[in-house]
Amino acid sequence: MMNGIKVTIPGDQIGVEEEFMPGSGVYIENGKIYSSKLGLLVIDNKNKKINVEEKTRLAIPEVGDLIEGIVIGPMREDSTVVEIIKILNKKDLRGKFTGILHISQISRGRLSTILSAVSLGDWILAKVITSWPPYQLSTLENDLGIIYSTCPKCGKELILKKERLYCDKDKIFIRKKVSSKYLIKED
Amino acid sequence: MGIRKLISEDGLRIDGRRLDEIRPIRFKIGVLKNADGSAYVEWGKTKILVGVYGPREAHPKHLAVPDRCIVQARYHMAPFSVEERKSPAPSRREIELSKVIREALEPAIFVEMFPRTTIDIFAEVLQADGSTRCATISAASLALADAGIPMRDLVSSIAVAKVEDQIVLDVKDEEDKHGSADMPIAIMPSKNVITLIQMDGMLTYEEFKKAFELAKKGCMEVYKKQRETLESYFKEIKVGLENV
Repeated sequence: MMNGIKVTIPGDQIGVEEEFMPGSGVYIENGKIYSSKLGLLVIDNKNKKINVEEKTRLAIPEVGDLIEGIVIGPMREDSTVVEIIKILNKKDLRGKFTGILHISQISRGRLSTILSAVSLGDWILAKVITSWPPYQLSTLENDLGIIYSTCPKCGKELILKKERLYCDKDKIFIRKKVSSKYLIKED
Repeated sequence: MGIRKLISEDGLRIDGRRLDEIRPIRFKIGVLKNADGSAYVEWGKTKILVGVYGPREAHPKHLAVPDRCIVQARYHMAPFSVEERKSPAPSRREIELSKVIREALEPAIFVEMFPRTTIDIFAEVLQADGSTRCATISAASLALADAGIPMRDLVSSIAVAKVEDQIVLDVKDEEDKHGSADMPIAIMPSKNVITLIQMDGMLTYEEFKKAFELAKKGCMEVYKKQRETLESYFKEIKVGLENV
């Protein structure tokens, strides 16, 4: 006990099933509730819920998590592979996870090919929609999509201009599924 | 048997311990920055460093199992960990211990929560003085808890041996080499489940029963140490956070 808070370690019995609803960081065995993690015991008396609040959240993608990734290809007609490099609001990844972006999950409009929405090397912000690797990703929402990209002609950074990607040097617009959180915006 | 007696007439062992006394054990958690979880243990003169990575994607990918995560363990002795230089290549013994350690820890982990991933445990023995597998298992369970991997229970482990017809707790290198039997066991203390039991040599039924009870008592002592370490570590980081 420290300042009235209790530290639990895996295997500690923290209650019985009749008392509380199991929350996160706990498990039930033979009607008893045990802690499964090193953390603080948090009892929500209003909702009768028992949780073990962890030190850090596991750096593993879960359904609904937002991730940042790089399109690493191969660019198939209907899907491509994305390397997940960061999970938002979770601790930094020690390794990399693989994601798959399917053409039906890229944008609400019709795409004839995946290349009209993303290309190799693009940085994307996407949502995880399945719970194990390779994770299926989705960029259907407006704030999801490409957050950094380069010009296919000259390699220069593209900027967001009138909600489309624009290359300063070649003076061309490039059609892509761009996120409203694109990193370089026209001033 | 050596020239020196392993147990003196007044019932003390070569390092001055009583028959049912364990060596001083000191755990330290969170020693490796790059690992998801880590632990270091000094168990008498045995010193081991354990790093845990994961759950992460399994490579090569054919290793991944669709309904659970796999646990991979690597036990390795540093070339300088023993008196004579040990070849750094994995020996037959190290491969066996890696398997044994993996199987002792796997029942404690909720593997079904992370399909198609892997949890990797790396143990490096820096200095070996007996009971390295027990020290590794005990330290690895702390490293797993540090990594935030959901577990049923901690795993505590200790070895017992028969030395000069007496049952002794927490086997030292010399006792292991010159004793007539030794038996490492690992248990999940609050679940009362055995996850590892091995035996070298011969024990009678009575001796086995006595050794087993002694080992259980030893495991509880190790568990107490593990508990204290985890609690003080958690308080340390919590207090650290409040100050920021």
